[in-house]
Order: sequence, then C-alpha cells, then structure tokens
Amino acid sequence: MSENTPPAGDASSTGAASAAGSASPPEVGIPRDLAFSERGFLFDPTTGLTYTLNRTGAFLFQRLRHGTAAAEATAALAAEFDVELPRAADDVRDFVQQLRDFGLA
Amino acid sequence: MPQPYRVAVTGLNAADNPAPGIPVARSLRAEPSWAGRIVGLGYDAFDTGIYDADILDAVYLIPYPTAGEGNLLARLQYVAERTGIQALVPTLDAELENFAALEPELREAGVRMLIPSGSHLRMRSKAALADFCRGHGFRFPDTELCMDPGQVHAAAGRLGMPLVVKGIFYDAYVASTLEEAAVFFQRVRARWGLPVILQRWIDGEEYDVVALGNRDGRLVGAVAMRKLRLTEKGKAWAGVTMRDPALLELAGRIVEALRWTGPLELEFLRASHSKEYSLIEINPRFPSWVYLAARADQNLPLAAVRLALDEDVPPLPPYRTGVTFVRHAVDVVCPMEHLESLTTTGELIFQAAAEKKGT
Repeated sequence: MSENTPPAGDASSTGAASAAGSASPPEVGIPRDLAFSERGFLFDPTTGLTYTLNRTGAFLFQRLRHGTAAAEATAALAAEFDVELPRAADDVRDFVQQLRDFGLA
Repeated sequence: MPQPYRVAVTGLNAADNPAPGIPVARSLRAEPSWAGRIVGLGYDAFDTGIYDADILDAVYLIPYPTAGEGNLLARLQYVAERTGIQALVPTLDAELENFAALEPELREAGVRMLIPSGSHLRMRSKAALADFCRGHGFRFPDTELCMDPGQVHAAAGRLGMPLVVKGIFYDAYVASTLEEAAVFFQRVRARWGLPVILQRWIDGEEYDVVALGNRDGRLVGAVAMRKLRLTEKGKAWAGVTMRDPALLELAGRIVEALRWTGPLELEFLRASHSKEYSLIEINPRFPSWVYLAARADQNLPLAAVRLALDEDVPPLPPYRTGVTFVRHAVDVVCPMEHLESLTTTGELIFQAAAEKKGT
C-alpha cells in the first residue's frame, strides 16, 4: 500500500470491454471509522494512511460507505457520468477491488 | 488539579534534530488551566529553545553529563532553591543515568521526577534491546553489535544488504554497500562510541508510540503516530495520530514487560510484506513530537508531572485520530542582554514575559 495513492475510480480510466450482463458488482463493506471528505480525501485511522480519490472515485465512495449496493452505485455512476452500464459496472468492480487491495473494504 | 506547578525541563536545543524539552513545555502550557511556571535547564547558551519567552519563564544552564553527578546535583540544588521547582522532566537519553542516580538527593531537595531506574534504562538500551525482545517474544530485526571495524564485513554477510548502522545513543544510517557500512561505522563510533549497532533493514512504514508508565510500571496513556515525512536523519517532520489496536496492544505489552516508570517512545517498523510490527527502538523519554499527543487529548507530559508529584492519575481517555503535525522552524529574536545574561551568569529570568503572561 502506498501513501496517498489514488484508488482509480475514474470511469474513463478503465476499459469498456466488458459486455452488458457481466457478473454483478460485488457488495461492499466499508469500515465505519474511515474519515472521508467530499473533496475526495480519505484517512484510515487504523494505519494512518491517506488517499486522494478522483471525482468518480469520490462519487462512488460516498455512496458505498453509506451502504448503497454496488448495483445501485453502478446505475448512479452511469447516469452521473453518462457512460454505458456495462462500462460503469467494470469501473465499480475495479474500484471496489482497489479498495480491498488497500484494506479499505 | 492543584496549581500552579513549578516544573523544570531539560533538552531545549531545537535545531535540525530537535530535543523534546520545548515540546514538553508547550504541552504543559496547552493545558487550559495551566498557571504554573516552567524553568528551562539548558546545557549551552546556544541551546535554541532557551530564548523562547513565550514558553519558558526562566532558564538556568546546567553542567554537561560528563561533568559528573556531583556538579549536576549542586547546580540543581541551587536552581531548586532559587525557583522552587517541584518537578523535573529530563528529556535527553544521555543525561538520564545521572538523573536516575540523583533521584534521592533531588527528592530531598523537594524536586520529584518520574523516571526509570538505571537498571530499567539499561534493559531497553540499544545494545540490550535484542535480548529483551527475544526474552519476551517481541519481534525485532536481526541485530549485531560491533566493537571493531573488522567485524562489519562478517556481520553484513549475516544481515544482508542494505543494513542499518546505529549509534548507541543516537544516529542511524542505511548502508547499501559494505563500503558505506564501514564509513558509517567510523562516523557513529567517533560520535557515540562503542558498540556500534548493525541491524537488518526492513522495508516498511515507520510508526511511533509515545507512552507513559506510572510508578507501578502500569500504562497510563499511549498515543500512536505514523510518520508522514522524514528528515534525512530519519526524524519525523510530519505525522498523524492513528489507532491500530494491534499496535497499541503490543505497545502496552512492552511497557508492562519493562515495568516502566516514566515516559518512553517505542519505534516500530511495519513490514510492507507481512504487515507485522517489529520493535526497532525504545527511547527512555518523551519524543520531540509529544506535543501532538497533548493536542490529540492525551497530555502525557502533564500526566508525568502529576505522577511525579504523587497525584493519582487514572489511565487517560482515548485520544483523537487524524490529528496531524508539521514541524517548522522559526527565528526567535531576542535582545543581546539575554545572551549576555546566560553567558555571564548562566541564568535568564524572563521577567517581562512572565508578567505579561500573568504568572
């Protein structure tokens, strides 16, 4: 884990290769004690590590931390950033995987 | 809380490797109800912090540890008589043995301290730490003590490269080659003497815990900090409070194993790969970042003073995480008379400043 590295989440940064109807995005459990600002700054009080999330990452994180299901977050992402659902689903899946890799979900 | 306290603090040089004295004094002043007096004990007229009239009420120069216990005691008795100090907080590794030895005499002079005994100091010394860790099952980097430059080559062969070359009191250098290790050995030996400590290098993140043990060797408080920025000497220049239960539990077990009385700083490395904490150092005094702990709601220096004065101090409540510090240097401007006073008499009373503060 590197300090202040941005988990991706930029919808335009991931490929659009996956087809519609691919596996559902996973459900996400995010620790309650993570401190997060709407501007995308994230602090993990257990490790002392900080992260910067880009606009789409912050958009997703804000929803996922409040218990929004991944499928619902995917739809919101697609609508907000005007991308196709399959591509949004890929991005959400990638984002959640990065959160898990960093121990944030 | 009975007030006002009259407290003396050592370790006031706050240059590129700041001593903890000024942060300890700032912590005491951070207590909202603080109305006491703080007397700085400096070793040199150019210990930078001694000119800060906003933090100290008076300054007295004291003899270097090498001058021996007798000279130190005579000077401290004089300071106690002049200032009425009730408590003394030593903050430098190299002076602690002397202060520990003088504890009974100082107590008789009305000056109380909360410091470990000489034997406890030696138990956690850099040279003995590996044995302590092995004896109690605490993870610790492989370590070798070298008395001779000829031993460096063989030790490096066992520890691998890079490795860390450390002085018995201060200084640590990461050597990437045998040649570098030999150069660092000589540098550390010239400054701090023997043995020189060679330690396996661990790739990971640095975490520090400042803690305080009471006279029964029980933990009163502890605050963990992740270093955010380091100087080239490896000193934290920025940090943030964090709370990993595993780290705090480990710190608590170490304090209990030591049965430690007084302040201490535990330095850990959390390996990038295994995520496990290795204890790399125990410093027998407050760290220079201790003001962060006070601002995160655990005023450990104030608790140390109260414990020194035999007040009942229950375990401190949890501290806040995410509290961040960034160290920066300031120029303190002072009249020539201050330097003159310290140089000629070894004393400086910030009368005007004291009046301004209403103390």
